[in-house]
Amino acid sequence: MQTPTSTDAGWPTEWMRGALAVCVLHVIADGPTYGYAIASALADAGLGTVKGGTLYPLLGRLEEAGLVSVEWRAGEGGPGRKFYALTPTGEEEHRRQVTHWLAFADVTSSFVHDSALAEPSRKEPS
Amino acid sequence: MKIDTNTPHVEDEWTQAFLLELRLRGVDGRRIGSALAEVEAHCAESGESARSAFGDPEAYAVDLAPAPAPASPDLARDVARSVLGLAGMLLTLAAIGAWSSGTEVELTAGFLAVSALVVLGTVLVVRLAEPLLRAVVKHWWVAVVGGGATVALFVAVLVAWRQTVVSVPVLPSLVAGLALLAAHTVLTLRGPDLADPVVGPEGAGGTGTMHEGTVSRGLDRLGPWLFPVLTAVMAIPLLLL
Repeated sequence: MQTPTSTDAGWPTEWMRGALAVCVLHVIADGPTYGYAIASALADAGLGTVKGGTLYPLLGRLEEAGLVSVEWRAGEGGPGRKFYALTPTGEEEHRRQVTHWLAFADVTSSFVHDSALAEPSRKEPS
Repeated sequence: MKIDTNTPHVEDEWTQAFLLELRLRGVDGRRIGSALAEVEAHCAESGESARSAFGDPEAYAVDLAPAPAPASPDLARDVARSVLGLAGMLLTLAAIGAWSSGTEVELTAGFLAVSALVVLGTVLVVRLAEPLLRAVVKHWWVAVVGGGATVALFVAVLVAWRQTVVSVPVLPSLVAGLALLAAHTVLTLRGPDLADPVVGPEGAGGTGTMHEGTVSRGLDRLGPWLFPVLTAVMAIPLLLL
């Protein structure tokens, strides 16, 4: 299977790799939720389909790092659902990562914005 | 053999390959059950196949457990106990054979050489447990050729070096043999339970829990008594002849 270079929403997979953790933490920050619902929330937000093979190892790493707590809740006749909730450490990490991401996005956005509007002239090295 | 892990929404061949790779990487049964339940829950809800959502089962297992766990000291102890049982069985049978033919137990050069080879082989098997298991599981002929070659080597050594190195009277041999068998059984009964069943998470309604067949459960219980039972069964023809 060849790894696609962009998601079905058109974002380069390398960008997604960088953004996924903060986005997943952000979904869980809304209240305890489970894997498939997280994937759906990300898709609804316009991030494209996140495959189980990418999402669950990330959730596992968040669990190992103590950022989320987990609990299986029984489903009707089905396999049940594994619910994830932010721990106090996770809440702190969520705030930190969101602030950080916004600052980063600001810097990159204003940088590429300014460059795009600027006259296509090259600066001579002084 | 079909493996039932109570994961009806996951393709059987995917489950088997995933489970096998995690086992070979030394992941414990609870973590395996939990990972299986997660895949099942996702596939049940999304309607996707495991292969399309999680990709290749072996690659996904590697993602979950990047570093294979080293062979546990339990394995070394387990193999050492088996060697103890095997030695007890052989010595007891030799003593019974010698007694029924009215001779002493003759330890030949070949027998001593084979004993040394068994110890060496045991150390090698414990050291190379993971790659060996992997080879045997992936290619059935490795077990057949490896097992056959080992038996052939042992027989050749036994036949080639038949000169007696030391003769031991029947009674001490019998006592030593039975003592080894008893030690093997007691150590195995008292030792830690090495079974590490695949168990799904609590609250998942049994999803990810592997059902063990009656045969496998029976063999588990027979374990500590295997060598004494084999010894008794093989002693019967020696006593009758």
